[in-house]
Amino acid sequence: MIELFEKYPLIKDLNTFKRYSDLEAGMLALRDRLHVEEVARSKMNRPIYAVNAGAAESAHKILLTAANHGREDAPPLALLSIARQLAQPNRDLERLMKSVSFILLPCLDPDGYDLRGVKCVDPIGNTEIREEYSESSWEDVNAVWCRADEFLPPETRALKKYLLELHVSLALDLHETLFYRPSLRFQLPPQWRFYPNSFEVTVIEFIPESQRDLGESVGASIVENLKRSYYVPRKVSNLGRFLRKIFVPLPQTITKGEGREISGPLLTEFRKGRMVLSDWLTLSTGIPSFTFESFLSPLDYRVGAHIAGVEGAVLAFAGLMPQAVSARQVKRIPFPKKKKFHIESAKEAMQLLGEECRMVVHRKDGRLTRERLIAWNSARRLEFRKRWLRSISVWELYS
Amino acid sequence: MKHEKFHKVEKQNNEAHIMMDTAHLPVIGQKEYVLLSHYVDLLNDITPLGGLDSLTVTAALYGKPTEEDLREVEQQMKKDWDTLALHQDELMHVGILSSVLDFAWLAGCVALAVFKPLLLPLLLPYMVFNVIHTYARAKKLAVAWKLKDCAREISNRVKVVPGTDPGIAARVNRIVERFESIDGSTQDIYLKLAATAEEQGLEWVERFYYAQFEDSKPRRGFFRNVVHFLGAMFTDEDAKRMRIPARSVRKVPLLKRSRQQRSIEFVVLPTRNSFEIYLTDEFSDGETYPLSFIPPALHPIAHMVAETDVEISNVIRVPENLDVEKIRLKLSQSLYITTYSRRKFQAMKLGQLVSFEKRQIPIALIVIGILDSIFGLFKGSLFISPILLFGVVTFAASLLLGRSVKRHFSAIAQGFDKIFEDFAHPSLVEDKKLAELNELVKGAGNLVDAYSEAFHRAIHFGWDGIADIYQSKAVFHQREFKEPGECIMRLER
Repeated sequence: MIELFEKYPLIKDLNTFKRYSDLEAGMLALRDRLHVEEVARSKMNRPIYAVNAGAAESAHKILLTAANHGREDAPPLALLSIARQLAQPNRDLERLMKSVSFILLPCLDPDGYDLRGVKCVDPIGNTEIREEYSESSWEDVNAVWCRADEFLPPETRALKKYLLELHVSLALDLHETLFYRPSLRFQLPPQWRFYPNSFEVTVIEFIPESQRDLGESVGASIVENLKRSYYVPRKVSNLGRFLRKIFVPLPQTITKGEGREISGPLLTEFRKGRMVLSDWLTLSTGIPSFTFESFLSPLDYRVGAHIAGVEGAVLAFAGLMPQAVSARQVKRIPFPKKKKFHIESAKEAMQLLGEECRMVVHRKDGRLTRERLIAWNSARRLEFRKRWLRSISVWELYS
Repeated sequence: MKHEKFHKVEKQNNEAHIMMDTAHLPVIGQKEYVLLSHYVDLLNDITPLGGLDSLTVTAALYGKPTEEDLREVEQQMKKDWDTLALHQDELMHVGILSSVLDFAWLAGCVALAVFKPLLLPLLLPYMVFNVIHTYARAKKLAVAWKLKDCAREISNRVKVVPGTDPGIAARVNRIVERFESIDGSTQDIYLKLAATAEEQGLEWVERFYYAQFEDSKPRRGFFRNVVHFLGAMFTDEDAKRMRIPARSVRKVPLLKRSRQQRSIEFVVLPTRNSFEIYLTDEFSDGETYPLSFIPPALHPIAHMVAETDVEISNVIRVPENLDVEKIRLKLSQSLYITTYSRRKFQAMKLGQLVSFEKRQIPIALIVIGILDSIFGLFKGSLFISPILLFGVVTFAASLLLGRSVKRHFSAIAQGFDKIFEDFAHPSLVEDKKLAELNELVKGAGNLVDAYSEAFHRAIHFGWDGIADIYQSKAVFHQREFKEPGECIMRLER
């Protein structure tokens, strides 16, 4: 199975990067193996880094940017995790890195990252970190990339210059839709517990006509890979199509510039023709570019979703097809009434794979979808499926 | 799973001692306490008691707690029992009105089903739901007064001490150690901990971690949520567990003579040049309340003050040694205006709102009844619609009961006045965590960095509300980074 990145990060590890100084230390620690350079400085004098990995002279360059909105904390952590894996690649990734080069900008707004705020820009380029997104004449920094240089803050000008000189072939800008201040602990506000479908992913693609095939396959692959790796509510059914008018469909792909209907609370702004980083990149360099948004989940889940999305994009860009996974049934265990499927499966998994195994809850598409739990260690990967007659069937997955 | 008891109620010569085991459990970025018995089970053993001369309540805390943990858990526990008392209070005052209206609806459905039997399939699910729900509420109402009394007494007297039973300590420590030794995704960690708790036979710890796991899963779909919600309503676990003692027992107060003592806490947050004072309850967020209750926008102590004699001590947590007189003067000037008058207003508003909300249904019935009569008149005969009569009767009932609801809330509003009067001798307590924040910001050169550091430190302490304040300060002070004079035009070289 082609697995470029480890997509299930460790939460305690992630929680050690709450300050920008921690993130910076994490990036600088990779200097021995990767090329880490400072490309600009923020207003509060924090350095903005770019991490380069892979074939230096390659014509195939993938640009990954994050924390354009500094308060969104999962994307920079996802890119840091990817950078760490690029520094110590597995076999598949190493092979890929011979022909493809990666440019990562894990944090475009370090001030906002530290203050958990959003950098807003006034009409002539003065900036201020605000707790919320733009208001009145101050636009958030992601909406000003198409402005003339005179009206941009110095760091954005420097970044634009740097990005234009890169001549990349594909760009992904990672974002999040957050309605709460990210803190150490994830807890849904009680009134949101009954909120439907809150793990939502949005991919906004901007594909120039000349790159239509590549762009569309990358867009589809981002979503596909995410569904392979994480549980994302399945594609909308007939009933779902009706509900789609009320609730946002998940995951959704929005193609800009094609006249398709755009729906969802997040995207009202895009109707107004707001031009963001990826739009500017497509308009000025003619490459397909994507904005990827994750939504309302624990930090590790959001970070993992970003890594899975990036992996999907890279797989499609490199023309790699993930191999089909086969499964064979290993055993079947009963679980008595009043016992919970997940706990019983977890106990069995710890017996079969050892206490240190990893687990993730998953549900596959299908007419009668039931709960699943996937557990793995370095040697084996097991899937626990809930059966109708209060039993659990254990399947071993292999490619 | 075998149901093990983790609490003990001992009574000897009109003196009782309650002991309960609790665990201080880690969750990611935080620690929380969990009662090892269900709170209703505990209360079931206490409600038969009454007319006691003295009562001691001890909560043994397991899971390697520090001195600081003991203090914080005790504070939280007092608040939780007070909140329970508050819920019982609200149930007593609003529950009867709701039950009468529910019963009226049920009677309406029955009448409709008699006249129009074809509607029965539509009406039946609601009728079943209504019966179950009203029955559960009636059960809760029967014991609400006693539960309120018990919860208040527990809150009044509870002392948290380190647990001494080596058996329970080993079982809880196994979970704490497990948490310390593993890393994984949130799902991973909580599932493994739930499984470990099950192995250790700690049912409520297992449920606690399973709930954390459910929270960290992607959410269910809308219909699943509805099913889940209805399931929780139909199998109302609290009501199912409740044992109702005889009327003669449940109308006797737990203690013959009781003097309630509570403290209202304030925090003094340090800034570079000054100190800011906040009421700690302003920061108590993230609590969940049952959906059937009105939101408790009110301070639980106000309910109590409105009913009994309460001795209130005001505790002010300070980052360093400060002059108590100075704080007292400042506080008494601003406290009434900023905090209590607002809450008093909220209380009165809520009273009106609740009684108004309960009148909506009868009003709708009256309107339908009037229309029915008018259409009847058009058909050629004057008649008084039974719907109209039914509406008028329920409206009258809701008016009568609504008056008592309003009276109750205005009593609470007066409670705030009493609390304010009591603000005489605040005591200052130096707080280590506040002192840490003080060190960060006191006379800081770079305010943005200092306040954002304080913001991150507050989040680390689990003080989300206080973190918000420092975040706003950091954001506000960034203007220090502006060059002298505002740039009005940029010109490229």
